[in-house]
Amino acid sequence: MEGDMKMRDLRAWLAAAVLLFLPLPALASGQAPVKREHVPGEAIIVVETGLPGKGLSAQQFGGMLSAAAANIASQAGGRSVGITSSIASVTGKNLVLVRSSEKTTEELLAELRKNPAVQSAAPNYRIRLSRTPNDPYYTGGQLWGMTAIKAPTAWDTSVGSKNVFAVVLDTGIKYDHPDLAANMGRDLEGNYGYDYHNGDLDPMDDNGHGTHVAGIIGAAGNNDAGVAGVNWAVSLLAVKVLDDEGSGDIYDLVSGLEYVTDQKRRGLNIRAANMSLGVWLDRSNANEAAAINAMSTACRAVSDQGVILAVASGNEYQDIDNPGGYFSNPDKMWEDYRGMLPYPAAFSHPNMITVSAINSSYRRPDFANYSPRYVHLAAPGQGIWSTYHNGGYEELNGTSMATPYVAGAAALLAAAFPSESAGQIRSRILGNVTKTSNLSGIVASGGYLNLDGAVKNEQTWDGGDGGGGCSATAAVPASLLLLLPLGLLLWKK
Amino acid sequence: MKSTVILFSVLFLISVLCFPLQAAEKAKPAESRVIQGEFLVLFPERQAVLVFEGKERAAATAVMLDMQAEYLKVRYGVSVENTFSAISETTGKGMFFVTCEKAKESVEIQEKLLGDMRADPFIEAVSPNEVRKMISVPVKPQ
Repeated sequence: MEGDMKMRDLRAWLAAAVLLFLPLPALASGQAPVKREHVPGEAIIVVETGLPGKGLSAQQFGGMLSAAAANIASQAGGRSVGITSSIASVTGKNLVLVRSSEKTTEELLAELRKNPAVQSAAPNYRIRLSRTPNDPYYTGGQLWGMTAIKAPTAWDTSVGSKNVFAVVLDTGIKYDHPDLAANMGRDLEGNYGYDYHNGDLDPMDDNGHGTHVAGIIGAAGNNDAGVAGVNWAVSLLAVKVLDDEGSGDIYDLVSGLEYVTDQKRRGLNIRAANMSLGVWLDRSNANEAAAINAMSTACRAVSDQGVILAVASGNEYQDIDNPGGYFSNPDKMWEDYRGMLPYPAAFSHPNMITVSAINSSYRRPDFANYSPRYVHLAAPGQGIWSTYHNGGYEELNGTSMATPYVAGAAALLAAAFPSESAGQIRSRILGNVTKTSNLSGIVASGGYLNLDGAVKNEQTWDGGDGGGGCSATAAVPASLLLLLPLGLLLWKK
Repeated sequence: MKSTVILFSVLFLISVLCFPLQAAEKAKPAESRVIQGEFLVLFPERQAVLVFEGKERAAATAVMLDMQAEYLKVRYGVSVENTFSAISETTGKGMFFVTCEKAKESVEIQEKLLGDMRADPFIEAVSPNEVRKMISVPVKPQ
């Protein structure tokens, strides 16, 4: 009995909390409140009771509350099925659950609100805990990135859809991996994708990089095995443009982008493409300028077809706006980046998103290239577990791992909001980042991916269409912050 | 006197150490390898194609690509190995992958062909096909 009462108290408190706090974000954002499920024919009411008088036993006080609640409920055409005497004994307010088998929730609420003894009446909203998958790497705590991007609460709204296609342009995908096979899609010709490196229809991964990327976008979730992707369900396509060493030629890369453009143009529902690859090029060199032009045209075609193209900022330890010379990359000290830019990261087509990385302390790792001009946001990119081409799982670092979080987010948002354009989905992603001082002035949005925020979409992105043009909003506050101490100093003087 | 000698010695050492860095060709990130005789050719955007939508644009693009491919064959003697029709239809820019057998065997012919096509006012850009390392996994522990 006491247990039942505690349960009822808890239930009532949760309902009251929902009642009190639910409308706030909606009001703050000026948007219509989200429609929540409630139990039909039930209402939670708050009745002013006053505190129990001296000499009144708990049982007597409970009896009084029950009688008053029953009276109020019957006047409204319902019956009292639960009270909260413990709460009432402390607060002087009894939270009562009223149920009616004849009236709808709206009718019951209207009747209850007529009674002056009722302070407030609300539907009995259903409350669900965030959906969490049972995949061992998730339950074991290794998939810190999913928590960082607030995926569990986003999964309440959507866990992805097989109707949405996401393309991985990389070293291929191990399409028969136990954690990926269920989420492999088929293109319009019935294939898993294409291998442009070998010129055949078998895009099997011989490096591991592409399989790792694919697992972050869409390893099968809640299947009691391995890892969970951002999408528990999605249709992955593999476009192999790189060999077993991660090298590829410009022709294969452009051919891969042609494949995406062609499949999309012919009706396949490709909503996201991932390019965890890049190369530093010098625009003043005629050959390289021409290669940039060809790649840019191909990326623009994908973007113009309404596909979100997530690209990695690269792992060369560089400030892209001011790249360094020899010794600036401790992994390759002989390389000189001055006068160069990384591509495709530096392109600024409307549906492209350039991604840097954060570690589990929500800071940019040293290796992750950055720029408030060319890089839009960050995502988890260090200590990332995902599927691997040996059929198992591997932990890798890099902006290559951060990028598929964003491509995956685009695919999940497309599943949740299928009528929205690529531009709208991009705005959801960039407008709702988790801002942090660690990334202010480092990436254009000043934050890292917030999937739940993107689903709820309480903010808007006003940072422009392209990587190259998105610096203004981030750069101005950053520069003002830098000037602030100077201003204070002068003012004091 | 002694300090002057030390100063000159330091200046000499600095000049010796710095000269090779200035003279040496800039070390490029992501080592590249040009594939002789293979080129990507890009024509300028044609608004006449982009004014159409749907099947009409596809038809207009096909005509444009046929004409441009023929031009490349006749004018430069190259083989059109692939036409990027989806990219061309979306952007209005004809894009081709072409090869030249003679350029595969001779750097001089490769450079001459590249120079000639780049000087062509009907062509926007020509890139030799290059293999490049495009992915990297950072090796330094953080």
